[in-house]
Order: sequence, then C-alpha cells, then structure tokens
Amino acid sequence: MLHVDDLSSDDEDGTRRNTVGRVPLHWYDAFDHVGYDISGEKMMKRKGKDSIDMALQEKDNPNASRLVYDMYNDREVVLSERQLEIIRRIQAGAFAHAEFNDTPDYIDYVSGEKEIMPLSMVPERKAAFQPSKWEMKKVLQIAKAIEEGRYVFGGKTAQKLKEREEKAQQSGIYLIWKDEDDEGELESRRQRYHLPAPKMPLPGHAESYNPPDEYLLTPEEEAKYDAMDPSERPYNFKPKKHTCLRHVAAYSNLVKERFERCLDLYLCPRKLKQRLNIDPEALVPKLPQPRELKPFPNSLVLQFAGHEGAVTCLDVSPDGQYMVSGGEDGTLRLWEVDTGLCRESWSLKEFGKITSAVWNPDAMTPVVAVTAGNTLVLVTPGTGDLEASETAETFLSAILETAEAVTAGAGAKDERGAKTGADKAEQSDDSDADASDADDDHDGRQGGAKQQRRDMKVSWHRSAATPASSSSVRANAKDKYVRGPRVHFSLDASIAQVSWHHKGDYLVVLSPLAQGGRAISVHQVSKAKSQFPFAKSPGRVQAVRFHPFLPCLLVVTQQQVKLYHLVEQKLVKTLLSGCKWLSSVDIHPSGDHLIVGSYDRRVVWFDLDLGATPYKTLKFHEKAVRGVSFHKRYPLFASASDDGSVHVFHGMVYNDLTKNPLLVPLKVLRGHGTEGELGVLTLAFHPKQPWLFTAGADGLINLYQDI
Amino acid sequence: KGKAGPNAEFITRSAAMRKLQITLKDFRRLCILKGVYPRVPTKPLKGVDKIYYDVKDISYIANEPLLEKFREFKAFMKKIRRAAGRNQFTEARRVNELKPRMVLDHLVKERYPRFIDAVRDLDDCLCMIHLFAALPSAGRITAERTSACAKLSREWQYFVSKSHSLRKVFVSVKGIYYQAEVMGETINWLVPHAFTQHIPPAVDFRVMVTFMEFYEIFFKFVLYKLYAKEGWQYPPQVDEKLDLAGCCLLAMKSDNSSTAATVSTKESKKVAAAAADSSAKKAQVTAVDAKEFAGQVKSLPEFLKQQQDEEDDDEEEDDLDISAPLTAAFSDLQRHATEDDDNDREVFQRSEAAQQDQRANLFNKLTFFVNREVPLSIMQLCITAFGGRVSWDGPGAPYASDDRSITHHVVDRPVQNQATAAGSVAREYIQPQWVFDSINAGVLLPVRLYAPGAKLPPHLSPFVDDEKEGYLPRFREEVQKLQIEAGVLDGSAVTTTTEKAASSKASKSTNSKTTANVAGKKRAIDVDEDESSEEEEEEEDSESEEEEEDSEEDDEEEVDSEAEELLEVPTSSKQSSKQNNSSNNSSSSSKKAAAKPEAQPATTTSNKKGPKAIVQQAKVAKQSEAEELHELSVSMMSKKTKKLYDKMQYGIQQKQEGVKRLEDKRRAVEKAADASTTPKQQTKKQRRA
Repeated sequence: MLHVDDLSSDDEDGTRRNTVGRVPLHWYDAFDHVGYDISGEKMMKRKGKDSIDMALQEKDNPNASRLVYDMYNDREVVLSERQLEIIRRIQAGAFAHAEFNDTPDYIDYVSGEKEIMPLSMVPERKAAFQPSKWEMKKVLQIAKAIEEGRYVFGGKTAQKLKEREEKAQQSGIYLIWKDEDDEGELESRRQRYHLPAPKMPLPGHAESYNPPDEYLLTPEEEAKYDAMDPSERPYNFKPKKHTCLRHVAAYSNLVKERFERCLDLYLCPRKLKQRLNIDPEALVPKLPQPRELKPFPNSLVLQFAGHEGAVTCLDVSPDGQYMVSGGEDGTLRLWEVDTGLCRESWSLKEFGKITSAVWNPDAMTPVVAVTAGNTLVLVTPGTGDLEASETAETFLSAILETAEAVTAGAGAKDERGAKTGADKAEQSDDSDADASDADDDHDGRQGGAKQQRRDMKVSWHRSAATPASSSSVRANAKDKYVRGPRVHFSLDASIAQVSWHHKGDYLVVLSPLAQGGRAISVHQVSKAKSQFPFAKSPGRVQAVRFHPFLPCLLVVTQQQVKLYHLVEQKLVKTLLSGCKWLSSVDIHPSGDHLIVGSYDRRVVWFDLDLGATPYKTLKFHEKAVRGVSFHKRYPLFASASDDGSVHVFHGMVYNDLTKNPLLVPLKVLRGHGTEGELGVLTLAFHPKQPWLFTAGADGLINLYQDI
Repeated sequence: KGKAGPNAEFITRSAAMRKLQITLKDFRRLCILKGVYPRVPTKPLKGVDKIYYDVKDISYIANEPLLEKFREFKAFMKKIRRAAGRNQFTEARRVNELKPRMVLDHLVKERYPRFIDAVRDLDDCLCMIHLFAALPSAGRITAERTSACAKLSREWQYFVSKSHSLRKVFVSVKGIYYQAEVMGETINWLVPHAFTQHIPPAVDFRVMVTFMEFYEIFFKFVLYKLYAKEGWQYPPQVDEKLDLAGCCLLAMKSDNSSTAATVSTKESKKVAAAAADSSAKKAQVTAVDAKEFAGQVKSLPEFLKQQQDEEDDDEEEDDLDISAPLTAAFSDLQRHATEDDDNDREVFQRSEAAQQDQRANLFNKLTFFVNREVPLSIMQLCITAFGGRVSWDGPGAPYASDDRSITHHVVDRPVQNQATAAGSVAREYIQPQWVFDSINAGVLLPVRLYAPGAKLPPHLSPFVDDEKEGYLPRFREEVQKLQIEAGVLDGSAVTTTTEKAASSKASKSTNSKTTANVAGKKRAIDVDEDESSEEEEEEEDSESEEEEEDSEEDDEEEVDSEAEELLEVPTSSKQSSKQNNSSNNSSSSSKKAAAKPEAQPATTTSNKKGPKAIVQQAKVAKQSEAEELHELSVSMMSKKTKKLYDKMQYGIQQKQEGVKRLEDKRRAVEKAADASTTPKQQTKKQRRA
C-alpha cells in the first residue's frame, strides 16, 4: 500500500498562496511584492526581520527549531513531526516513507493447481512405459564382457588408453643398429647426398677461464671491441682472466648461442663447397730460369755522363759503334759505345729541347734525324769511313740544293708558293676520308693517277750551328765533309718524334699538336719531297712508326693502335689496347708482333694475326711506362718506366703460327734515379749485341750488358 | 623437360608446403624432426630470395607417418576447441586423454642408417642435452624433460668415464668443453657452468624443444647401443640413496652381462633379460633397504666402499679379460723395441698404442680428495675417466679427508692453514686446473705451479693446432718440454715445429719460401672431400702424406745443416738479409763509382775479401736472385690467379699480423712483469742495506 502524504498544497488550509510559478525570485527584487495570489492581488513582502528579531523569536517561540522560512509565499512554516522524520530518512538514504514495503509478498496469479483440460491431446509413446530393448542388449553385452573378463570400466576412452599403454610398454628402447648395418653402403639417395652440418668451431686460448696474458684485451682494444658491430668481433665473448675456478660465473649468452646453432641446423641452406687448399706459391707460374735464356743485359757496366738535365732520347748507330743522345739542355751528343767517350756535342739550343734523335738505319749513310722544338734537323755525325761520309753527302744533296736556293734569296717566294700549294692541297682533300700516300718508287707501283697527293714544300735551311766542342784529333781527309747539323726545316707545332723507314730514305715526323691532318708528315730525303698523308687527324697521336717491311704506317692514338696501308690508302687494322693513355710503341722485326707501353703502367703485347685485342697485358711497373723496345736480333724486349726501373723480358716469337709467343721476365734493371715524377725516359737496344742503353731524367745514360 | 636439372632437383619452400598441405609451423617441426635442411641450388630458377629444398627430402616427408599424426593432431585440436567453446569441459577432458602421440623411433634409423653416422653427429645432441639438464623448468621446458636430460647426461658421462674415452677437458668462460673418442670419432660437447642459466626473451623455445624431442629419443638409442657394445646393461642402475647424497657418477652401476658381448642378434634379448633380472634384484634391494633403514647412516660408507671395490674389481677383470694377452704381447714387444732401436714401423705403432694406454691410465695410482668448493661432477668425470679414485667432503664419500691413501687434495680456496690440516699427512694440495692441464698434456705436471693460492699458469686450449695457429704460448713450450721428457710427445716433431715457427717468424728469407713452394707443389690441390666418403682411403692418404712431410722435413734439415757447415757462419737470416741489402747497395755504388771515370766491370770489387765472404756473398746473391725471380713470376700471373694469390697473401699476412700482435703483447706483458719485480728486489736490497 502506497502511503500518500498530504504534501500537495491544493487541499491545504485556506491561506493565500503565491501563483507566479517557479520563477527566480530575484525578478521581484525591485518590487515590494513577491507575486500574486489566486485572486490576482499582490502579495506584499513583509518587512525583513533583522537579527535582533530573529534572536528574540528564537527565545520566544518554542517551535523556533522547526521553523522554516518559505521565501516563495513569504511566510514561516512550522514542520511537523512526520515531515522531520521524512527528512531524516531521506538523509539516511532510506525510503522516504517508513510505511513503504520494498519486498512485498509474491502473489501467485497463475495457480499451481492441476487443471482438468490437457494442453496437447497426443497420447504417450509405448516406449515410454515399456522397458528398453536396446538397454537390455547393452546390459547383456556388458554382462557377457564382464563374464569373459574383457570389459574395461570407464568406457571407450579408457580402453583406448589401455591399448596405448600396452603398446608403449612394448616399444621401449631396443637395438636399432645391427652390426652388419655399419658395413653396408648407404642405400638411399637422400643419405648419399646428405650434407652434414659443419661442427661448431672449437674454442681457442682466448676462451679459457684463465687465458695467457697476451690474449686479454688492453683498454684500447676493449674500447675498439665495444665500438665494433657484434658480427665483426673476433670473439663473441670478452676474454677475461679468473684467478681461480670458483670465480667463474655463468655465461649469459649460452642459451642464445645454442638457439642460434639450432636455427642454423634447420634453416641455413647447405652446400658442398670445394674448398681449395692450395699453397699460394703453387699458383705462381713456373718460369724457365733466366740463366737458361742468356744472353740478356743484366748488369750495369757503363754510365755516360755529360748531359745537363734529363736525357730525352738516344739511339745507337746501325754498326753499333756510336750512340747519339739528346737532352733537355738542347745538346746532341755523340758517344763512343766501347769507351764511353763523348765524341762530339752539338748545341741545338736555338731550336729548343731535343725530343728525339734517330740514326738512319742504312749503315752506309751515317745521318741522324733530330727533332728539337718545332724543327727537324739532319745531322751528319761524321762516323764511318770516308766512303760513308761521301754517301751521306750525296744522300743529302737534294735537300742541300733546295736549302741553297732558299739561302740564295728566293726563299720567301718559294715559301709563299709552297704555302699556297699546301692550302690548295688541303682544300681539295677535304672530301677524302682518310688517305695516305706512298711513294710510287718505293713499292714499284705506278698506278698513282687516282691518288691525290698532298705534296707540300717545306723550306729547308742550311744549319749554321757549329760543334760546341769538337775533338780536334781527326785532322784527315774526312774533314772536308762537314760534321754536325746540316739542314733543318720547321713546322707550325712542336715535333714530338721522328722515325726512319727501314730503307733509310723516308722520314715520318709527328707533331701531335698540329692542326688537322698536319700532325703526321712524311719526307723523302733523297728527293727533298714532303707530304701530309692524312686529311684528318686520326685522333691524338702518341707515336708513329713504319712497318718493318710492308708499306704500312703504324699510328698510336690515345687508346688504340691503327695500321694504315699507305698504297691502298686505307685503314688495315685497329687494335684496342684497353689502356687509358698509350705512350710508346715498338714493332717486332718479324712485323707480326708489337708492344705498346702506356702511362697507366701497362705493357701490352699484340699479335697482329690474332685480332684486335691484346695477346697479353703485363702490369709490373709501379709508374707510367715511358718506352718499350724490341731487340733486332735477340728474342729480347724491354720497358722503361718512371719508377726508375727497366724490365728486360725474353720474348720468343715462333715461326710456327700455332705456337704462342713465349714471354719470360728476365731481369729488373735498376740504376736510374728519379727526378720529380720522371724516371727512365727512353731506352734502346744495341743492334748487334744483347746490350741495353737507357737514359733517364737524372741526366745519365746507362749501358747494361750481359755478364 | 622437368626430368633433370635444378628444376627437378630443388623445390621452393612454399611449393613444398603446398605439396604437403601443411602450415609453415608444422613444416618447420617436420624439418627439424626429419633432419631436412634447405640447400643452395645449383641454379636458383625461382629467384635468389627463395628457400630451396631437395625434392627427394620433400618426398620423404610426404611419405612420413608423422604427417598423418600431424593431421590427427589437427583434428584433435578441433575437437578440444569445440568442446571447450561449448563449455563441455568433461568432454574436453575426455578427448584430451586421447591426444595423439608421436613415435619418433623410426626417424633415428632413417636419419642415421649406420651407427657410426649417429656417433659422428653426436656433438649437437650432447650440447643440447647438457644445456637442458641445466635449465630451469618453466614455460615450455617441463620438469620431466629437464630431469630426463639430466639422467641422459649422467648416463653418457658414466659411459665416458667407465670406457676411459675422455681425451681432453677445457674450462672456458662459456662452460666446460670435453672431448671424447668413441669408435674412433672425436666427440666434443659443452657442459654449462653449474649456475642458473639466463634465458633471453628472444629465444624461441618451441624450436629448441622440438630439437630436444628428437634428441632425447635418438640419444637413448645411441646410449643403448654404446652400452651394448661394451656389454653393459642399459639403463644403468642408479642407487637412489647415493644419488640423493650427491655422488653423481659413483651412484651408478651397470652390470657386465658377460655373455652379451659378441653375438649382436642375441644381444637385445639378453639385455632385456638382464633388465628383468635387475628389476627383480632392485625389488629385493629395496626390501633389504627397508630392513636396514635404521642403521643406514653408519653402514652407508661401508656399503659404498664395497661397491667401489666391486667396481674396481670389475674394471680390473675387464682389463684382464680383454687386454691381458694383448698387454703381455705389448710388453714383450716393447722389450724387443728397447733392445733393437732400429726396428721400424711396427714398433712405432706398438709404442703408440702403449702410449694411448698410458694416457688412459694417467691417474691410475692416484687417490684424490675433492674439497667441497670444487664442482664434484666435473672432478668425478675427469678423474675416474683416467683411472683415479675420488672422494669428497660430504655424505656418501668413499673415504674421509684424513685417509692416508690420499695423494692429491683438490682445493679451490685462497690459502688455508695447511700446516695444521696437512702437516702430518703427506699429500699434494692442488687447484683443480692441475687435473685439467695434466689430462690435456698427458703428463702429470709439476704440482708446485698449482699450489693453492698460487698464481696459476694459463689454462690453454687443447684444441688449438699450434702449427696452424702459428703462435705458441710460452706455457705450451714448457709443457712440451715436459711431454718430451716423459716420452709422450715425439721430440723430433716438436723441434721441427718450433724451428719452423722460428724460421717463419724470423724472416721472409727466400730459402724458406722456395722450400714452401716445393712443399706446396707436392701437396698440389688438396680439395676437402666429402667426409662421408670412405675414410679408410683418407686415412691412408694422410699417413702417406705424413710420411712425405717427414721426409721433406728431414731433407730440409739436412740441407740446412750442410749449408751451415759450408758457411760456418751461424747468422740469423734477418742479419743475412740485412747484409744482403747493404752489400747490394755497396756493390751498386761501387759500380757507379767505377763506371763514371772509366768503363770497368763491377765484379772485381769483391776481390779483396776472403773466401768465406765470397761464399757468403754468392749465397746472398743467389737469394736475392731467387727473390727477384719470384717477384717476376708473380708479375706474370694472369689477372684472376693474381687476385686469388693476393687474397691468399692477404690472409697469410693477416694471420702473421695477428701472431705478431700476440708476440708484441706478450713481450710487453713480460717487460711489465720484469719491471714490477725488479723495483721490489731493489727495495728489498735497499732495506737490507
């Protein structure tokens, strides 16, 4: 039963009540009333009581403690006993009214009494009130099983478990391996191809609990060890010294290492590696003993001193008695090979530094072609007998005549004519791709009508240079022939190299910095003719040579070697060196092989029959290779380098084409110092003996002989 | 197509899994159990980032009964999960009891068709078993597993010690390495130090436990076979009282079933019978124990003593049975050998066998007492394996610490008042390292180095091949001297090695180089052969190689001595090379000097010198010539071989540098030691003054 207190104000005594509703009372702060009563009259605010009034009231009124001011109706209300009780209950958190029952008795509205009418009319199954046949069968089965002693209490699971236990008891440990197994072969492929995992490496001294002192890490090493990546460390532990066994602690990484080993065992791909157990020395090729390949130059015998500054070129006379050398000091010197005496010295300072000096290969005409600065000078050294001097004179006669004419005064005109002629030739040749010229007389071919010649006239001049120092010993008939520089001509650019044709009539001159096809010029001395065989430059030319017997010209560019046929005017072959910058070249006397030196330390051997790639590239010098040279008679070749050493090789070429050339290093000749970056600048073999001349930046010329 | 070549031989992992229809997890487990590993294909046709397996391996897995078990297990897990999901816990429990169980016995035979294969692959198994025996049982590592491992490890140690097959011991910071020789195969294993092992979180124990599943069963079979070979009963009986008392190996015993030795087919039956017998005996023993329980504490030592004696007797009998005629023959032969020294090969073999015998009985007449701070299990294994007797401080000790028969007392404490403890008793006090070092040296080392509290000599690894390493620690040299004195080591061999080392250290003289060259050529290209191929051949090869080497060494020596005799100038090669240089320089300079003024041949310079000097100079010239020739021929190598050669030279150089670093360090250490001792002496002197 819900108790309802008469809390509503409606049925209260007939006092006046405020009807404004629940509005904030401060709205009426400005007025002297607080609202309106039911009849619409203002309910006036009574005069506020001050504290004295309150105190008095508290004293006087016995109900003061339960007096509550009702601001809304502006009256004072005295709370009843019951109202106080409600307030107290609410404060205590209980139901407000003491009469409220929160657990009322359950009233069973749907009765538990059995009704007469059934909900479903389906009759009961028969099986519901008859004994189970299946159960009987089961019981019989079990009874029989119990009788026979095969029943297991606990059902199917237990039975299975029992079976399994029996099985486990049967299978214990037994002898798997019979002795005869060990003798048999492994039958299956799988086992035959099995790759057993490599065993763990065994510990070294450092892993000991008490290692030798030298295995312990010093503080610096320890710092280095800590800084290293764990995979790069020499050990995966730090060697530590324990003074006794009981100080040894557990190793913290043991489980991890074992785990990693497990991972390796089943995750790491395996492969059978054929590890080479070679002695490194077995790799070194077995070369024939040098002493079996004698003779070759092996010891320094003579030094030719006299040049000031580097000696840039040298050459030995065809008869092998004399040697000329030129240096940066601008002097050309003639030496006697046997004694080391400086026979003559001519100063060519006026032309510049001497870059090359070459003897005429014809022994009967002792003429030396010298290049200095922009100029080519022909020198008669005055060696040989009277006859030789005479032939030299006649050899030079044509040039001397032209030079005569120039000096006579018609020079300027001629020169002009020559120039215009040359210009014309150039203009007309622009259409030609590459061309060359060979002298018709040279090869006996007369079909040169189609060939356009790039003839030009160079102005030969008579040289007035006198010997700087001349031995006055030879006062004989020979004196009527002038010794020394005879004639010269100049080109626009500096000349780097001159080379004779093997017959001694032609000269090829290289001035690499000249424009276009003017880098290479060919001069016929006996007829005083000159020509530029190339219309276009074949690239930056490093060296030029005539082929020993074919009418071919060998041009060494920066990275390639090109072989031009002079008669057919075409490129025969291009050889790829594989080097960055070639420096020098020499052809084997057989004409089928050539060696090329390069500034990137290599010496390359080409077999011209083999193709464009090198037969062998040798890299043994420590610095740039400056010069290479073949011996004319002996199977020798040598290379000179800036590291101050000269390597002498045995280079046997066989007539049998199927047999490859045999290259054997024989000797490293040292004896030259290095000046700045330069070492040995040039070298030349003696034409008849196994001797080697080398000239270096230190101003010395060394003669090595076989001893 | 598809019949040959890498496509038909190798299969990627994903393809293999697809073929087997299993998950990666199961595949990995199968791989571990079956011993299948990835291979590097001859040509990675499916890409280099793939993992390749041998097709044959995968087809073996496909026919594996375990695969069926795995599927059963999958079904089983489904059942369990369903029951648990329906809150049918009784059902889940019932199904759980029917959990399919794996049998791995067949894998053992399949992976190791011959017993020798199994013995060869024992290293990892042993390490794992010993590690698991030391691990705390938590998480995936069950207590049963750790105890089983402990049991297995002890059985193995028992076998090793009783069969005297232990060869080397090495105490490292990681644990104790042992090396045993079983059936001619060296087996190495690592036993962790007896502390709680740190288990890093990154370790996946599922993998380790899968390995252990196989290893446990595999090792059981191996042990069974090993015991059967020796004619012992397996598993050995463990006396539980003694075991509880803490005597590790001495608590075990396995009877010699005397008849079970020879016929292998009957072996299994017999052993089974023996096991039955033993179990019966055990029952009896327990009954007896129950009776005697009261007076047990007193009678225990006696009982132990009896047992020990029995064991000793057994061993002696063993020796008598097997080797009595042999030893007699040996002794006879040895006598012969001593009579005529120039007997060749046979004698050598005999002496070797005798030597091995000697090594196995290193501690034969010694009686040890192990103090309680020394790990007993290690000492028991090491000492009993070499025929010594051990006792310790604690219950179940065979004899007390004041026993008169004790010869060696193992102590690992700073210094105790020995005067009172040992004043009356004549025995040696040693640190445990003496035992290890003596075992490794094969000789009883001088005891004074290992006195308690003394600064121990370094404990060197016995596994290091000194010649290969190139560096010989100082203590090893001393030990080698002792070994030569004792006749354990062949003196000549050692001297040659030291000489070699010295020569290689001292110089890069061309002489040694050329000889090395010759040797290298003789050896030619020695390719590592597959180990599983016939070893006999290899052995023969190695023998012949050794012979060759010996002869070579002899030759070298002869040559050297001859040369020295000729020269009569005992200079070190360094000096000679220096002289070489200087003489070269001088000669060249003289050449210059001679050449400048006049042409003069250079060879006349040495005229004034004596004949000796000439010979010397000639030799020097020869050397320099050879050196130059070598340099030249190196320059003639092709690019590829040059690269290889340079690599090898780099390796050699690195090694030499390493050796040099060690030597420098040693010198510095010795210097420092000297410096520290000398001022002390000085101060002493001053005090005296």
